[in-house]
Amino acid sequence: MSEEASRKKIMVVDDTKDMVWTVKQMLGSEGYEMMEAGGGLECLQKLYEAKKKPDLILLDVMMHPMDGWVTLRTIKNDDKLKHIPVSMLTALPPDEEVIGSNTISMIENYIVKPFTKAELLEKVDDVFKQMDSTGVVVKNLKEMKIPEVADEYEHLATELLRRKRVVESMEKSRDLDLVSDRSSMEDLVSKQKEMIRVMEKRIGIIREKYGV
Amino acid sequence: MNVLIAEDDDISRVLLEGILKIEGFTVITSCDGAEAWEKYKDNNISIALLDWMMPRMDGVELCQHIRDAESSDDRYTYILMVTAKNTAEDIVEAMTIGADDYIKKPFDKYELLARVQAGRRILESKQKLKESEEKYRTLIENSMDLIMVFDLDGDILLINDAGANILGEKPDYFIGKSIFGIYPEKAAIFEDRMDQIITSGVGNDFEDVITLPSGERWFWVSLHPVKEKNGNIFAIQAISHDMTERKQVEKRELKIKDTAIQTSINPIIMADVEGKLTYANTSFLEKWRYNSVDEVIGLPIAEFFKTERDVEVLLAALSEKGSWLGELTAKRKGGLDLDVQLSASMVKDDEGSPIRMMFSFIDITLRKQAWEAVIKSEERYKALTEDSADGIFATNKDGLFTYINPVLEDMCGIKSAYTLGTHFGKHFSTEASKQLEWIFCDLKDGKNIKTLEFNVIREDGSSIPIEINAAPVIKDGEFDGMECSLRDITNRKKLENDLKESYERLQVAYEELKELDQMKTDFVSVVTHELRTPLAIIRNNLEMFLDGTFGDLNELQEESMGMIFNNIERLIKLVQNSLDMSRIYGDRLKLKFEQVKIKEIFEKVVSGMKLIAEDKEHKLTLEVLGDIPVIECDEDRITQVLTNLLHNAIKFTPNGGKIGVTLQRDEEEGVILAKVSDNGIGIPEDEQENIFKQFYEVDSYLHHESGTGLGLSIVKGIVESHGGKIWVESTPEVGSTFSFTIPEVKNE
Repeated sequence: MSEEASRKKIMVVDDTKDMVWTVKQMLGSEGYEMMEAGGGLECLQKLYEAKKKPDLILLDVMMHPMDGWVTLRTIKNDDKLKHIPVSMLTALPPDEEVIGSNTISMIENYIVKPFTKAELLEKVDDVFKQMDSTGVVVKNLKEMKIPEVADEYEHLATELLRRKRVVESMEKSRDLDLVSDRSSMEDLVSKQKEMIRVMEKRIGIIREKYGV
Repeated sequence: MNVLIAEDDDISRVLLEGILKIEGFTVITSCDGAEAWEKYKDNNISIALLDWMMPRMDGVELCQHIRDAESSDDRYTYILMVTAKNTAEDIVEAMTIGADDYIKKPFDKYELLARVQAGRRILESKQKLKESEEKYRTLIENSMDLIMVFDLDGDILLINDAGANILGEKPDYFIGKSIFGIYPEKAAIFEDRMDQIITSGVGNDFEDVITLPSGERWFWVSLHPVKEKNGNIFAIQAISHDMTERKQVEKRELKIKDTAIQTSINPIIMADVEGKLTYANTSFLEKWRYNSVDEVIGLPIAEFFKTERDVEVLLAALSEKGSWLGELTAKRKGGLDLDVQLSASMVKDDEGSPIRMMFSFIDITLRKQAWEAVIKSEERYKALTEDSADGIFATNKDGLFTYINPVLEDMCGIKSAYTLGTHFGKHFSTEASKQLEWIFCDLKDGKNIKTLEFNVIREDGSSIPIEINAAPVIKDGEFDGMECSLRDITNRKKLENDLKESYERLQVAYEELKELDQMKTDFVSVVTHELRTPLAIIRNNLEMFLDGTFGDLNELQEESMGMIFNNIERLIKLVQNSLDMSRIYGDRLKLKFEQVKIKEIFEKVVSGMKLIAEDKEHKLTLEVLGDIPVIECDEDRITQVLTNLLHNAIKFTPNGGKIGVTLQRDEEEGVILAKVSDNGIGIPEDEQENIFKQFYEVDSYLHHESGTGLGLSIVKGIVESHGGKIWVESTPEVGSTFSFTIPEVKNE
């Protein structure tokens, strides 16, 4: 794998040109390969056209005419694109509608503006690290010629990560007093936690069984 | 009347017979004494004319026979001696043997007649005397009183049967006995009385008690002198009336009266004619606060009245008119006043001389108070109704006017002079009358009437809004009429309308303000969001300048960029907090109430905060005093409150401080009381009341590192939403104690 190919490619989507430029400078200076889009539609268009799909999309929420959430759902409903992790860049923490819906489980995390460079780098790095650790296990499993187990593991690990982030953001929203219907929120959190517990158990079984 | 003539001389005999017959006497003649004696015995002779000198039996002998006979058969013959004897000795002899008169021979016809006639008158009067004596005797004998006659030596000459019976013996027992001997203990009294009678010649009366075998008896004794013809007293008659029964009755009556006075509820006193107290009853002693009657006996009555003038008037009235009735102020022991009604009277004896003054009191304190209250209330009522701004009228149970005050006269043109006694329904406009009729019927049925409003048409045709209050007049538990007050509410109506208008204007203004507030909230929200992206761009580019992404900076450039960076950071924080605030205050807090074991929450939070506290080497403790009940609250919110207070305590206390949490139950108030104390920097007194304010907190965020992101204003909001209270006690450089309460039972 050439160095060019091993470099992580990050796509930044924002309708504020200066923001796009600034993020490109921050991440580019850290060695990431960058691509950009000035809106939801442009983002989708560029994703379809790109031969090398990005490893991570940083997606702004407030955009016109197509906002970040719509763009996100479109990506995640496209078989060719849905494997790409998405982090949301937002001035607004997710509202109830988003949190209560499936949308929240579609994202890796969200980065609240105005973030610092350090925050941005940490969140990005976080996503890649998790992907990598999952990737190692998946690679080992593939080498053991048990691809169905590898697929299951990859799916479980990715899903687990997302769910954990969802729960984390839910709890943060609750603590910030952003939710009016707290009891339904509590229900959601406890359901998610139950799912996470089941997934972790399953992952543990796989890793123990195959020694990975 | 039979006249016996004893005369031996025929001429004289015939002459006498002739003279007397002519005068109408029945004449019986005899020629000598013996014949005359026989004829005396056979006939009822009233007058006897006896010749002194006669054969066989002379006049003197005959006279003696007659007198002897008379003493045994209760007759009396007037004896006129006819004699030629002329000496004084003869006449004395004749009178001594019992003759009544004499006439000398030769007698004059007219003299004879005159003497006979005189004899007849004497006989007649003797007869009358005898009859009356008999009557008198009968009276004496039949009298129930003791009648006795005794001579001046006290020897009893006569006593009647009843008297002897009263004294317990037969009459014979007493005759000849001395009253001094019979009743030696009464000797002195009788002697004294007898002396008085002998000296004065008139009788006297007295009361006396005599102890008889039958017991003690009361007698009314009346003594009278018995006189001879010449007026000499020779005996004394005593009539004693047994009045024991009457005395007993009197005594009983007296005792009853005495008891009545003594136990009378009215204070009663008596004084002698000089005005010195002689008697006071129990009620008086109690009312006047004396302990015993000895304290007051002998005191002048002036001692018992407040003013000397009253006493003067009283005494003057008593001496002039004999009585006084009126009200005055009495003075009691120790100078205490007492309002009394007094009835005073002068008690006089039978002769009309004053012997006692009597005073009977009635305590009128209460009556006076009640009366004053009545007067006051009447005046007040009158003042209320007459001076009232309301029209007032009253009716009897048939709805006829019994009272109309002047205001109503003006208000509705109802003149009391013409309308009293007529039905109220006739005098109001149709609508008003109808309403009043309903009210009247409702009151009659015992229903309560709420205040009603309607219009009354005035005389001039104008209509005024009226508010009416009606109440039933209840007498002996029965409906007895209606009392109404009518208030002209023109001004109030106008005020109400004004109020309504200004309320509507306010409502509009409020809506506008609310809209503005919403706009403000939206504005803050939009602006802060819109600021986020440019702020991010500025911050991130500055960071890249400063971390050398864009190449090295010279010293001045680096200093300048650093300054820009710090201020951008500050700006970002301000935006962040503005957003939080607008969110938090944009909506009301919504609480999720559950049955919560608050003690466990506190334990969980405190143990969760221990690590953070230990970072600053604080000692964090939790003290739970007594049993803490399960209460109804929002667990997460209470967790936030405690967490926030602990964060502040940790933050504002220099390293190595002491932070204590106490939790207890205040049963009296029905709340749970929690306290978070530290020995940190404290809060100046003048800032203590501000720290819970929203903008104060925004300000404080600028000066201190932000903690949880929930300020004290949110803490306060949460506590108050639970119906609790939060307050702080703090001394700078000593420490702060934040206290808050949560009701045990959720307030609805």
